[in-house]
Amino acid sequence: MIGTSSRIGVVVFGVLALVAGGCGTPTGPSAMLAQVAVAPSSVVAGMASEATVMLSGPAPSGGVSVTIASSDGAATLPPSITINAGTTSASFTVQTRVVAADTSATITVTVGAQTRAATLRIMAPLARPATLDAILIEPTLLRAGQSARGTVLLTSAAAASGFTVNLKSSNSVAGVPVSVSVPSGAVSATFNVTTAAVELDTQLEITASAGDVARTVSLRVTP
Amino acid sequence: MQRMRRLRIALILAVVDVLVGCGGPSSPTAPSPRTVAAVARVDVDTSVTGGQIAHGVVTLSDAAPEGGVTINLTANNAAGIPPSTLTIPAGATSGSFEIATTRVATTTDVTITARTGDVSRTSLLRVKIDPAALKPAATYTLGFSSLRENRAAFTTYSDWGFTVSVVSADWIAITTYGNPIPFVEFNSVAGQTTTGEIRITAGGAPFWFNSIDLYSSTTKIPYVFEGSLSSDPVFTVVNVLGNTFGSFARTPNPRPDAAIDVLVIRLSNPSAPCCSNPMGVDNIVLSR
Repeated sequence: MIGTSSRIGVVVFGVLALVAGGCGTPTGPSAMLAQVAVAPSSVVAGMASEATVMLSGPAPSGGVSVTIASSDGAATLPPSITINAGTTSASFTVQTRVVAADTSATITVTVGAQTRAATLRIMAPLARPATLDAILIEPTLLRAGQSARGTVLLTSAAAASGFTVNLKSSNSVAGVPVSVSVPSGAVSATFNVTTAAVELDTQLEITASAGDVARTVSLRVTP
Repeated sequence: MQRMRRLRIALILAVVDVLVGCGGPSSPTAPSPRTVAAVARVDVDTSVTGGQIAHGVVTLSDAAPEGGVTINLTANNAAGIPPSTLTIPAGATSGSFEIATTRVATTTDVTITARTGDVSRTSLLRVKIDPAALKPAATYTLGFSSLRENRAAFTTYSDWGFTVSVVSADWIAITTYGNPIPFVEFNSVAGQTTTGEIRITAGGAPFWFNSIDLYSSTTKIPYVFEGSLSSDPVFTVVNVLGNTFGSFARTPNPRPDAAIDVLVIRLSNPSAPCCSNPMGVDNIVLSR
């Protein structure tokens, strides 16, 4: 038999759970700050880059306010952004100033007590050949059988002959093409990541490489 | 009894139908209100060099009726003078006009207002400084001589009508060294490159940048000079001064003849992996 006080407790708990759940937001109330990525992560001074802040789950009702800071005045950005309710990420522009020496700026994002950082390399305006800059995959959490979209980014536009980036998966659960080609004049190319059936949560890595530069991103496949 | 109730309900429904006027073919059509052409928008050139003619267009909400529409035009600053009225002829939906501008000493924003009756719309015209009409009259050196407290935070300094403001990095005043003392500097921690930026203005008035003394304790001095006039870029100088080994090096502006109203000095302080490095400036030579 459940007593009156127990019933009240159950009701109060239920109300609190509904409030915390953001009126039907599909995930739990505690969307954690997952990461911040800057792409491209190297720019010629005076050019802009784009930073993306990602949460571990959809932002609750009212959204999530993110405070942003740069460690160096060569990179300027908005002081804050909001990740809208129900979404998992938001982007902002990082504008760089013309500088005469290569400079690194640490872009720091803060939500409450959680902080994540990414580094933007600002290169003095000298001619440099393109190299592999970054690999991005979205989403990075997949159910078996789902596919994801991958992107490779170069530090500058590909030369007339294009730019080939080799791809490799650390586990056959995720399949990627052997390579992807960035066409002449472009700074990025996309590819498809497919996944096979799994019985357990599987963590794996997708690696992009070109010459002596390699970049890796983690992927998680769930049953 | 029930029959009576049904009749009463039918009667009420009929009355309601008439009152609401359900829009059937027999409903009388109310006369539509007569539309009046009003100012929908006014557009003017974004910017013009003072002394030149700018152009504007007034667009009406509807075609002008018989007799045309008279638009009243005003400006909130004498730097831009539109005609007092503009008549848009019958049947037309827009009309253009010219704005006479005067030479200005500082970049001036003029609001142009177009009005018909109680409807008004505005547009902004920026009247820019005409650099061809300018000549420097005197030369000034900003030597930070009024800074007295050693290692005090430096954020802004005003002298001779010029203002030096820090944009990035933590700058301090140094009263124990300079060319002559004092000067202002910022530090970069070991192994990092830190950007220090200052901005110089003369209250919006144009001026000329001749040279600056740059200092670094142990490193080369990568620097950028950016000059702009009425928000338009005039010059960007990107260069690297060799290691001065702690001395001040007079660094000329290769564009001393170019009038500007904002000057940005941006220094990159590439400290060595072993040690932090101070870098700074003294004697900013300007003309006005």
